[in-house]
Amino acid sequence: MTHVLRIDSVELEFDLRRILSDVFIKCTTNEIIGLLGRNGEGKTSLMNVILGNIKATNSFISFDDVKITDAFKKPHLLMYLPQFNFIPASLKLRTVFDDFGLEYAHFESKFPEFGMRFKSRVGELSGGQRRVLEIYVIAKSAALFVMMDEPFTHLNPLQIEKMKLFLQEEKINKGIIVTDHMYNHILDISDNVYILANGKTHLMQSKMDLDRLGYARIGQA
Amino acid sequence: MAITIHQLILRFTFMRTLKLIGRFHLGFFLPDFLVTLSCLGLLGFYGTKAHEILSILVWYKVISMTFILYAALQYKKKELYYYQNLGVSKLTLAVFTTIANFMLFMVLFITVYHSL
Repeated sequence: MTHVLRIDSVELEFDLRRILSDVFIKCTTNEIIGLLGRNGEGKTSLMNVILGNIKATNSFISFDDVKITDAFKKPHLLMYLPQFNFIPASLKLRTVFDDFGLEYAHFESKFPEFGMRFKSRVGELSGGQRRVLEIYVIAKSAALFVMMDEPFTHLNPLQIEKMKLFLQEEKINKGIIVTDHMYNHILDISDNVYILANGKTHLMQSKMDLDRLGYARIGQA
Repeated sequence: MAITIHQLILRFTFMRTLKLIGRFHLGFFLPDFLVTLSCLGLLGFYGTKAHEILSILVWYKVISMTFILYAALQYKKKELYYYQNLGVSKLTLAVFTTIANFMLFMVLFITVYHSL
């Protein structure tokens, strides 16, 4: 069964400065949605509005056409990977997998570099390994939708390629909204891409839209 | 009496939530407990005249508890997303750790006061 997460009419202001004014995003299960935008355009704020952590002036978030508020209270519907490390460094990997109800053996088979690290603490991992772990637990969780804020930061090129494949495998079970400044990777894995510019979302029709909306220079050396 | 699957899930979720709250509290339990111990020490020091400083000690505990909780929430701001992704909100963590902390304080406080 396909589920739909719809974000509509989001308006957000900070100190009378309008951040978001006309946002529409539709994400279904079995789909990866890319969200691109320059720094300060409000991508992270938008994710926090969807999650319910930030109260917007106006917003309509619905799951299967039923309005939802405070999505952060419903981790079976929506989980969020912030752009920074969020798993407490003092926890053992065993505890993290136990908390999220996941099997370590599967993780180990996907990412052999984590072999024999079951009893290690998260803080003992390298920056890249820590990010791999965080992406894995969120993407593999039971949530129907996940939002990922700059997941590829701290990953080396090989890890990024591996993660792209992994996310494409996982989208079979869930809808994924992902934002990252490594836009070529986002374009590679996304079924649809929205560009956030001047507080509005624009559904990307061609790569030239990135240039037109001032996000990237396309076709120039 | 037979337990339904729904009740089992609820019980499991409740236990898991308690475990997560306990783990969060453990991160700043020591300063809270040291404040409690200092209150108990002052009670013992004042002995039979302890009733004169009861309200001061309770306010001292309440104010320090608020300050320590605020500092912990700031210091662990990023980790709050971990608990949130597991279904435990910042408000739940703050309310339950405060209740547990204050209850422990009151039990020890009353016990020591009556033994004076």
